[in-house]
Amino acid sequence: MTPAPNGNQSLDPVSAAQQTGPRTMSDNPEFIEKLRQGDPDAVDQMVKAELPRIYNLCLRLSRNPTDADDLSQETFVHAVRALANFKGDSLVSTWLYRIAVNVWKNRVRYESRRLKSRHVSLSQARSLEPDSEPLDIPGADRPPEEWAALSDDHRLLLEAMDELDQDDRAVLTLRDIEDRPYDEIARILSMNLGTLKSRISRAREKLRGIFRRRGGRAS
Amino acid sequence: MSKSHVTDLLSEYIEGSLPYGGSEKVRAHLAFCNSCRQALTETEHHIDVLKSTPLARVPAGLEARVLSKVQQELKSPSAPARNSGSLWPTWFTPMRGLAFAASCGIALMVVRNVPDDLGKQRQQAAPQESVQADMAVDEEALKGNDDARLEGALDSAPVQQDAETLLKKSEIAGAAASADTGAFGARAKDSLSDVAVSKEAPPATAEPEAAFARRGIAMGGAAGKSEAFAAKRDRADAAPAPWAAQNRSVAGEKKAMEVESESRRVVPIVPAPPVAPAVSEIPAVPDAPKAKLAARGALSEQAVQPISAPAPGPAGPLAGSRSAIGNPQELIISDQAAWENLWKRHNSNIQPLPDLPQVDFGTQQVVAIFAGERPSGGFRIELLDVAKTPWNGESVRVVRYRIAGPAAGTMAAQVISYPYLLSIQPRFDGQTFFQKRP
Repeated sequence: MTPAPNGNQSLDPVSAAQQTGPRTMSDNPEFIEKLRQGDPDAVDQMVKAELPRIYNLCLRLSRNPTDADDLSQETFVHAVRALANFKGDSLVSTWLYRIAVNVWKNRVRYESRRLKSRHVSLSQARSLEPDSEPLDIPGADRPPEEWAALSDDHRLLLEAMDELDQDDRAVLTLRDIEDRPYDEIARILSMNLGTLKSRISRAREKLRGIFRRRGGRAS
Repeated sequence: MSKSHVTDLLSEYIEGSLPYGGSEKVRAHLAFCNSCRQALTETEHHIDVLKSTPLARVPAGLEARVLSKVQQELKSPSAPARNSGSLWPTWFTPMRGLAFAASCGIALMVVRNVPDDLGKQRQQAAPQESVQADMAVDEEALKGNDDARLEGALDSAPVQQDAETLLKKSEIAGAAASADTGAFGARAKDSLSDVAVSKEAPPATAEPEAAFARRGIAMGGAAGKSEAFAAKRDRADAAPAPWAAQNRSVAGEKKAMEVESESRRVVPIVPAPPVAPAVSEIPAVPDAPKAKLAARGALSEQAVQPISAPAPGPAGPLAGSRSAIGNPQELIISDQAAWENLWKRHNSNIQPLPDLPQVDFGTQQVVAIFAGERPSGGFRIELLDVAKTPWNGESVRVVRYRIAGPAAGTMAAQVISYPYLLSIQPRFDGQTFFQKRP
């Protein structure tokens, strides 16, 4: 996979679901060994191969391109620092996904703490009270091309996903958007399979409730 | 078939991962339950729609940025060793090893109900006396009773090294139990000072600290430890007489007291650093202190030069590094009075007051960000984006910005700076969130 020739957020004709599948790179022990040794060429190859996938995951989780950009960079920097610990018993993409999810969770935690104590709005008659709402703010600037190309239901569903808490959003992103298998998601999120299944079930039910509340109807 | 709905099983039913017999039961329920059938249809539809979510393209330049950072990381001397052939696993660092050893030690002490190792050493030194002494120490320390009796008991078994060890361990135990890191910082500093005292003091002065340290541990946390140390200090400072009135040599005791008092002078208790108040606690926008303004004026002539306000407009933020507002602020200005007020405060270090940029508050607002005091020049606020977005069913505005410092390795003016940014934006009457990016 190669990056887009221009910098705009635009549609790729291949869906996220179709992009998943067995990764030949991860099956190659020599490549894994080179990665673990910190071989620059192998690392470059890993970045080029996995960046689109990681960027999209970060975009789905953080819901805005600016954060996705930051999180992607941070993910690969963390990965390089932890290369020696990568044992190759999972796909490289699974390992990177796990790092990306953890980086994102840390970011959300940091932002939540910060924003709760820092938001000040003069237009609120100098109330100067910290926000008490949980702060995990959706993307301020969704890629317009992507957004315009979606159906109404699709847009409504993605907006409904914004209302889910971060754990529910993570499981649905990985399962329903990224189409990752259960066992891999369980590894990425450090959950056991039973917990994951029930969480996915609950998240889908919540999503359905939000979707209906927002006026959506199943076709 | 149960009459209860099967919505919680639908997800696994769709995935085909229900255990044997589960699918049949769900199917049987669906045959007569319209509600669950509808839920099934909707959930299947949602999954289909989400799976068709298109893959966004990676922004131009991101790959180059990632590659650059990654290569920089690979070349970094601080990068972790990669399969260097060491016997130890790569995650095993000296600090982690020490932390693990300390944890084991604490766990052992807790399991064995406090410092038995001290008692054992005492038993070796003075089998008969030390058992009684240890019991006396424990009882008296826990009850917080008579110091003279405590001292008498301690005299029979002076073990300074154990006292120091216990003090250090009790600090670690206190750290583990402390939820408030700020409070712990202050307590830790107190404790460190006490450790220093005990190192320099003779055995007779170290022992009571051990007793209090144990008492702190017995109380189960940093709070107890802190109280124990505080109580001990109070008694040592306020009532030195009982310490001197012992059965021991008066001269020796006086010397001990002198050494202790000297060591307290040599190792003063370091006060905790002042904690900057949260912005939300500040009742009004304060001006920078006059002294700071004077200092800025003395450091640079430019500080007193009036700045020229560029023509207002959504794309032209006013930005600089010499605001008179000294505390970090994130503000939305929505009316003329507030704008004039802010402008005066912001320029209170400039005479005459620069012209107020015109803002049409019918259609515009001012986004004002003040970064607070910075240790040098070269700091600036970068406005990343201002955009509206849905959140919890309402439309909110998010202002993202970054405070950029001088680049590493570059020279910056050694003056205190107060970066600010005033940006005129289209009016938005909903909620606004500020996000400072790292």
